[in-house]
Amino acid sequence: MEQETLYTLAEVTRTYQVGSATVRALSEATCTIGKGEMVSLEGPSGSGKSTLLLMLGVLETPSSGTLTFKGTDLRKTTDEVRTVLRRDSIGYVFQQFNLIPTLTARENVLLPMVPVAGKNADKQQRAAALLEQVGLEHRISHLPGSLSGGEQQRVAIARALANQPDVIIADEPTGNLDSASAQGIMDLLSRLNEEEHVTIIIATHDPAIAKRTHRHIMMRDGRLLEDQATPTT
Amino acid sequence: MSPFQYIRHELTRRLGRTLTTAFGFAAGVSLVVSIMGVASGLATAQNRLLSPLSTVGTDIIVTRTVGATTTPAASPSPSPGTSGAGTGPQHRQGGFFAGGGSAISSLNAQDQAALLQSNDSVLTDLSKLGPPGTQFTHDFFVPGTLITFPSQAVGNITSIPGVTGAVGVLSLQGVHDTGTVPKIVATFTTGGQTQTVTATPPPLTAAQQAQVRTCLFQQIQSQQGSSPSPSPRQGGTNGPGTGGGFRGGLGGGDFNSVLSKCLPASYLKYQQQVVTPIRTVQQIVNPPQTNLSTKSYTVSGVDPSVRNQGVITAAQVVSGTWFTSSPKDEVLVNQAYATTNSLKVGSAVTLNGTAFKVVGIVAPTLTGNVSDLYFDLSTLQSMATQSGRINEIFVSAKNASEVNAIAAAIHTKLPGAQILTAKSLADGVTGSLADAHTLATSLGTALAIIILLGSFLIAILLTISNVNKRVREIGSLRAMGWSRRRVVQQLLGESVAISVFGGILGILLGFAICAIIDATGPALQATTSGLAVGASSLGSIFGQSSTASAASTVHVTAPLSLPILLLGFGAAVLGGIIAGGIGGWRASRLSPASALRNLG
Ligand SMILES: Nc1ncnc2c1ncn2[C@@H]1O[C@H](COP(=O)(O)OP(=O)(O)OP(=O)(O)O)[C@@H](O)[C@H]1O
Ligand SMILES: [Mg+2]
Repeated sequence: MEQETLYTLAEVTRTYQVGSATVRALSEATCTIGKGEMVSLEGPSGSGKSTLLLMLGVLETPSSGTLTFKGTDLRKTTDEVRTVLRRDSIGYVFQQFNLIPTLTARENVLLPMVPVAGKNADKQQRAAALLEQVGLEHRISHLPGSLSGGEQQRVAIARALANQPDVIIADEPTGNLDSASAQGIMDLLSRLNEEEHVTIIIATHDPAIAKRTHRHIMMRDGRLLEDQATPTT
Repeated sequence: MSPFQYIRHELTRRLGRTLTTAFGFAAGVSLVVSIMGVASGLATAQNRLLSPLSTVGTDIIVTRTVGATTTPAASPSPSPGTSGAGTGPQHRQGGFFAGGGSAISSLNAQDQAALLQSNDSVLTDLSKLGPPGTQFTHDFFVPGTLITFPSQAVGNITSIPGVTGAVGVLSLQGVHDTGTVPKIVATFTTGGQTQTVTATPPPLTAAQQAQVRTCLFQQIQSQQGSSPSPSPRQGGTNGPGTGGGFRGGLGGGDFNSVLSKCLPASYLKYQQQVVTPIRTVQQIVNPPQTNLSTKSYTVSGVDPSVRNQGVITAAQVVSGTWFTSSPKDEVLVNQAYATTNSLKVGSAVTLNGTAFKVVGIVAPTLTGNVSDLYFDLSTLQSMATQSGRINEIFVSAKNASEVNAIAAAIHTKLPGAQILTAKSLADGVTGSLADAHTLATSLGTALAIIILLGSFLIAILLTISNVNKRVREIGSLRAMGWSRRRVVQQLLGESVAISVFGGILGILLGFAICAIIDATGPALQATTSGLAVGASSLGSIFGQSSTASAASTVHVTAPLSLPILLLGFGAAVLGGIIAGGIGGWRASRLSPASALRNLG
């Protein structure tokens, strides 16, 4: 239905120079990701999952091939354009949460809104609403250090949602969590995908997590191997 | 939330790091502030020593020296074709202070007379002290190169607009001679010469020649008949004669009178020109045959009624008192001179048979012509046969900006005046005191720079280490759409905020340190021998150094001025900007991908 294309990858290759050797982290990846999809990237360590996510997150540019995001060829953009794309269209969730330790939950959620114009009161309200959405209304003024791993990751998801992104990119979001917390995070992401139609791309080792997505991309040695969709009920 | 709040939280919630960095800045600032405070305190103290005019209520000192230019109009007795004998001093000194048309041009004659008188002092004629062989002790006073001038010049200066006070001082070199009146004294006469005029009158016509010849012949014949005795005036030092070959058997004077009767009127005009007065001088010839021993010292005559301006002031009395109401037999003694000569308040100083009571010991500042003894002006004037004469005028101006204009006015009114302002004196000062000042300033500056660089370095290292610790944080900020510029601003803001805090803390610490320095106030001693007033040091003209010296105690203080505090504060903020700038630059060069990958 709303299979509007978000990403188009055509033979996207990323190489890194390590001394005299050239490491191919991503090799001729070709695929499209539509708006509203929930995709998991699976594969052993070093298979290129993080490399692909950085590329999709507009933090890394391809060495060769074509990568378009919302119709923009990312290889032809300036740093300023990429900064604005990241700000307005992409939300990140990391394995390590990456919250600012000196800011409260609410202040962390406010952080992505700082470069955006708008009334402070509206931003404050939105931050509180987002924290409520992730179930942390009672932790609004807590510093990350006083939150559990699962709570911290919820704050990170609320922060990723701050500027109403098209896509949430999550690199092993449950990697540091126990399975109960991990399932809670997956519940939250699934709900965002279903209710808010936010595209979600998750890299994971964990089949239990991958199982919660609708599309599974298997990676090995920098290549996209299988690409199968689980029929939604 | 605003970036400002982020900065605030970053500082308040990482208080340890904030305080560490801030104290680094504060230590730097406080040390710099107190070093500069001490340097400025030293500079002030040394300025006070180096520009001593202000301590004697004076802005300008007016003197008059040998070799100053004279105005042509002032040149007395034109004496064309002078033979050069005997008139030297008069010509050399005649022109001083005799500006064309000025009020004191009329003083010129007196001026010359007084100078001539001082030249004729007993110094050149020891026979005045008694018959040869007499043991004598005598004090002579000579002005040296500080030529005296009539005290009326003080009034001239007082009338210049902007001058608030002018006081005349007579500073002389005292020469204390003891010995035996020498035996070999020659008496000879100088002066009386008729100056010849070099001129070429028209040649005598044949008729005139015949007339003169006839006239001369008649006159000589009539003269030889009467008294042909030679002139007694033709002693040892006769100047050049007037009339070459005509002198024959006649005395010069007789011949002149004969000639003047016979020459045509146009020739007579060239005769009877300047005739210098005949004076008899007794002078030691050859090295004096006497066991003469000489000690020199310096004296000044001051107006006892002027207590706060002049070569010495009442404020410089360190023990005893200023001159009392009867200053005639009183003397003030320089501290250094009193020490070397074991003089105390109440002691007596005897000069040429007169005893002067020491009423006060004084500590003169480096006025350039510090004297050993200070007398009442009129007393010294009569002792030194310098009645009505002075050789220095201490002038005060209404305000410092008028000093140059006043100096120019003095130049116009008193041509040949040597004018010394506080600035010219300070500029001319060299030597250890000036070196110490320079050293203190440069050493202080070097130290301040080293300390500042040190605290900057600490701040930079702390900021860089902070950036390294926050790589992941910086990566996430970039990932959530913060621009490079915004990240740099954040880090810079944090760093500057810390430096502002550190700067304020440093100023408070600096205040405390300076207060401690002021309270303890270590004392420094500064001693120096009298500096020359311009080129006319009294001592140097006699080839002796003056015994006068001045000692001053300086308490080191560390006054804090707004510029110093602002400078310290500004330095801290600059350090914050540099440290934050370097940290931000490193952060901005960080690729967000690798920042996140390495630690995410
Ligand atoms: N900046 C880099 N410089 C050099 N090599 C790199 C760099 N980034 C990634 N690589 C290499 O590229 C390959 C793919 O790495 P990537 O991080 O994408 O793997 P991954 O699938 O995310 O692994 P993991 O499951 O352990 O996170 C690895 O061999 C890695 O060493
Ligand atoms: Mg990875």
